[in-house]
This record gives sequence, structure tokens and C-alpha cells, in this order.
Amino acid sequence: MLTYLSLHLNKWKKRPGLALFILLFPILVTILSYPFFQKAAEETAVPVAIVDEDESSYSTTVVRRVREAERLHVLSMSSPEAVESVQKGQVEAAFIIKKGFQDTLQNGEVEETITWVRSNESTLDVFAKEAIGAELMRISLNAKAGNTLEQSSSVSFEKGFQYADQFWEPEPLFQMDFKKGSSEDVAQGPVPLASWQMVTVALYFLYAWLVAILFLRTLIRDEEAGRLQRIRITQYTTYSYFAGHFLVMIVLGIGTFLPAAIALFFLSSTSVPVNAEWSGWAMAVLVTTLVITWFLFLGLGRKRWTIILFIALAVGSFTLTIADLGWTLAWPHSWLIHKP
Amino acid sequence: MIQFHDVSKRYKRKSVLNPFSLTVKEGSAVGIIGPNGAGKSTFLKLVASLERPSNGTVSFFGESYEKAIRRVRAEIGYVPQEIALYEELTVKEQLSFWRKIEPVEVDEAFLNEMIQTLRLNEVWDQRIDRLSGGWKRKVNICVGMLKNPSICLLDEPTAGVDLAAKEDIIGWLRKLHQEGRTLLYISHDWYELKQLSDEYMVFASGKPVFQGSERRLLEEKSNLMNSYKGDHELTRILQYV
Repeated sequence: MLTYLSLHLNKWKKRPGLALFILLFPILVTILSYPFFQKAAEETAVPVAIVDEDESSYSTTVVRRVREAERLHVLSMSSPEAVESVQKGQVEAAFIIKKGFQDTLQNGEVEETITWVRSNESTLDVFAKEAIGAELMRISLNAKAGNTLEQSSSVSFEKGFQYADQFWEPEPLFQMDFKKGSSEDVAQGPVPLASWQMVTVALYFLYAWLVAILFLRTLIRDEEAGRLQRIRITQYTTYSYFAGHFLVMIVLGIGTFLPAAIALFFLSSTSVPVNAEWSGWAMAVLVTTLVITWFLFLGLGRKRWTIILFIALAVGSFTLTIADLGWTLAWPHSWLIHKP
Repeated sequence: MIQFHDVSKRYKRKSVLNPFSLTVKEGSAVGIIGPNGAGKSTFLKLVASLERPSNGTVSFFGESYEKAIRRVRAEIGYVPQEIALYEELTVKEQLSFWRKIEPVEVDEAFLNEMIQTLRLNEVWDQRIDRLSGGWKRKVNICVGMLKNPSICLLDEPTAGVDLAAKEDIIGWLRKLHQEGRTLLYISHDWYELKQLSDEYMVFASGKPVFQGSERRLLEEKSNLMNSYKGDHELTRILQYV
């Protein structure tokens, strides 16, 4: 099987410029269009409302730090305004920091300190939830440290609080349970990517799929040129030929997709766990798609017209999914985007 | 050695070989002639086990092809009409690849002799797509014969080859035959066939219509020409005999 991989590597080595271009094209596109991505990222920041009913130093700190989050557009407003904004879909969600927030945290409690108001349409507010949860956890644990030190030694609460706070750099993320303000129970889903990132990943996916489809022409040409016959008579069977070419197709698909996806996540400062989670999912979908393509290709008799059909399917999958034109669950791009 | 009993071959509705029976004897050198589309290449593919007969049976040393398939493929060297090579690879890489996928150990001495005789070392590091037609044919033959086969099937191996290269190839094939190998050789060049063959097969109307020695072919020639009067290509071929 590896003989066929080495055969194709050898063939690609003869045209290094073309091979490198095919491999690096999506990365080049990512790097060259990164300024556009950045702009898109700013424009697509998730709008959330924050209501600070406590107006204490703790609540102000939470609001200030959440405002620093790159992918959130934080709007301060009153409680009725926030609820109305959520209902109208002007913000993804609202977070109401209740009166007594600071006292509650200083007492070492975290339950029901913030109300999370969201609607059925809310999807991207989990970012805000994460950011607020992290700050809440940070302050509450600092307060607990301050309390403990004050009770057991001569160290003041403030000193203990400050001392504990220095252990939070770089800022870790924690999930907290919030009391949800909406009537609907919303299952906690995966961390979604921004829509521009999703479209870009879908484009890389399309590119990798197309490269793999075009590679299938090799098998048609082998048959037409009599090489497959020669292999059949040489090796007795063609199992290793087909297994070897399947391996090459998978390597080609992964090789064109994965570096581009990682480069994209790296440039857009996506966290490593999110990067790994999405890259892993996209790879699984890509491999599944390539396996289906492969068996369809074999099942349809390895004809030239199947290449045209697969190209149309791949482009259709991307277009229909991105444009959300229905029947989307049938398309690999849809599987990619709707990560369970 | 190889026996065809009432064999025919159809592709969908089109009959390419009409029912025929014949035997290829071990150690013989059979020159195959006939017009285009008479079924010569299909016959060779049946021998090579690359095609299955639609009807009838093919046996190899008394065993059916289904049972003897591994042995058949291990003992048969097939040189197709097409240049079935990877164009991007050099001659060296080409032979190295085909050696690698060979399930049995390649006879080093035989390979070296073949390389020397066909003078492939002169183009050793050149890519196939940059070689002339003659060199490509030589490499095509070398790859087909890599396993040092006891039965050599060659489908127009010298088509488009210059005279010098042709002489190299014919001389080497004659030597292989003298060493006891069986040759089945398709060509449109009577002079070339005459140099190599001790037996002839004439294909017409999708089946072998003659099998025998040169003397018998000369005796049967006029009968054949009369029987296939309408087949101008066959008549022209037989005129050279």
C-alpha cells in the first residue's frame, strides 16, 4: 500500500511547484486575506447586554473584563431594556448582575448571582457566558481566599484577595452554572465558531474535497493507459492498488485541509481546545466524505463523468449549506457546520 | 499447455471472439497476424487472464484458469500494445516501482541482461515522457518481462520503433525463445514474425482461422484468401506471406 504513496510522492516531486501550490494555496489565501478576516471578526462580534444592578467594585470589575473579550460586543443597559433587547433579537443574551452581588461573593456563595436572559434564537451567547463565568469564578475564589486568610491570620481581606488574584494570570476559563431567565431549557452545545470562520473552514473543506476528487482521475488514467491491467497481472489482484490509492486520497485531503484550518485558527487567535475540537471534527467529516466519495466512485464504475458529478456535488454541498437552501443535512458541509 | 475449448468473448452485445478451440504448446513461438478488430489482442488478454471468456473454458497445464490464476500470472509476462508506464518517472524509478510491486523476487541476472540488451542504461535517468517512442517501447517490454516469465505475451511490442531498436528487441526475444520460453507475438510485420516464429496463427472474423507452421500457411494461403475474399486487410496481410 505504501508503495503507491511513495509512487505519487515521487510523481509530485517531479512537479514541486505545482505540488507546493496545491498544498499551500489555502494557507496563502488565509494569510493574504487575514486583514479581511480581522475586519469580519470585529463586525461579527456577538452583541450581549449587561445589567449592573449592584454597581459594586466586584460587579464593575466583571463588566470591565467582559468588555475586553474580543468576540463580544457588550452593551450596558437597565434590566427592562435588556429583556426587551433580547426579545427583539437586538442582543444575543443579557446578563443581569443582581443587587448584593459583591456581598454574596464575599460570603463565599456563587449561586444565582447573575441571571442569564436568552431567547430561543440565542446561539452565540455561550461565549459571553464563558467569559462572565470565568470572572465570577475568579472573584469568588479570590474572595474566599481573602475571607479564609482574614479569619485564620492577621492578613487583611484585601491583601488575601489581591494575593489570590495574581494566580489567575493568564486568565483561565471556567464554566459556571447560571440561573437562566428564559423559559426554554437550552442544552449546552459546543463552542461555535464565528460565522466568517465557519465559512472559511467550509471553503477549505471544499478545496480539500475537490483536490481529492481530481486525484481520482489518476485511477481512470491508469485504466485507460493499461497500467491497471499491468498491475493486475503483476500483483495477481488489485486490492493493494485500490487500498494504496485510497490512502493517497485521504493523505491528500488531510494534507490540504488540516494545515490551512490550523493556520486559520492560529491567526484568528482561537483557543487551542477550540482549535483541536473543530479541527478534529472537521477531519472526521472530511474522512467520512472521502470514504463515501471513494466508494461511490468505485460503485459507479470509475468513469470520467463521475468526476464531473462529484465536483457538482461538492460545490452544491458548499453552496446549499452556506446559503441554507434546505436539504442541508444531506450535505457534508452541513455535517461540518452542525457539530454535535 | 494452454488449451482453449469452445471459447468465445462478448462485450455486452458485441461479439469480439467467436467460438474457437486451440492449444498453445509449451516452448512454441507463435506469430499472430490478422486485420484490426479480428480479436488478436482479446485473445492475448484471455491467455493473460486479464479477460474471462464469455463461454467455454481455458485451461493451463490441465487446470482451469480459475484454479490456476496465481500460477498463470506468475508465469506470464504481458507486454500490452499501449505504453503502460508512469510517464513522470525516470526509467530507473519505473523499473524500481514495478519491481517493488512484484510479489516474487526479481531475477537480478535476468533483469541486468535485459537492461544491457535493450540498452536501457543509456536512458537510465531520463523521464519516460521525454523519451522517443522506441525507447518507451523498450521500457514497456522490460517492465512486462520483469518477472522472467516462462510465457511471453507481446502485443505489437515494436510498433513505431526504429529499425535498430527493432533488431535489438527481436534478437533478444529470439534468444528467450531459444532458452525454452513460450512466445505469443502479435505483429503486422511479417518479416519480424518470420524471424521469431515457428508457428503462426491467423485471425479473421473474430476467431483464429489458421494455426500451423510456415509451410502449412503457405499451402493454405490461397484457400484462406478465397474464404475471406471480402476481408481486404487480411488479403493484403496474406500477400506478404
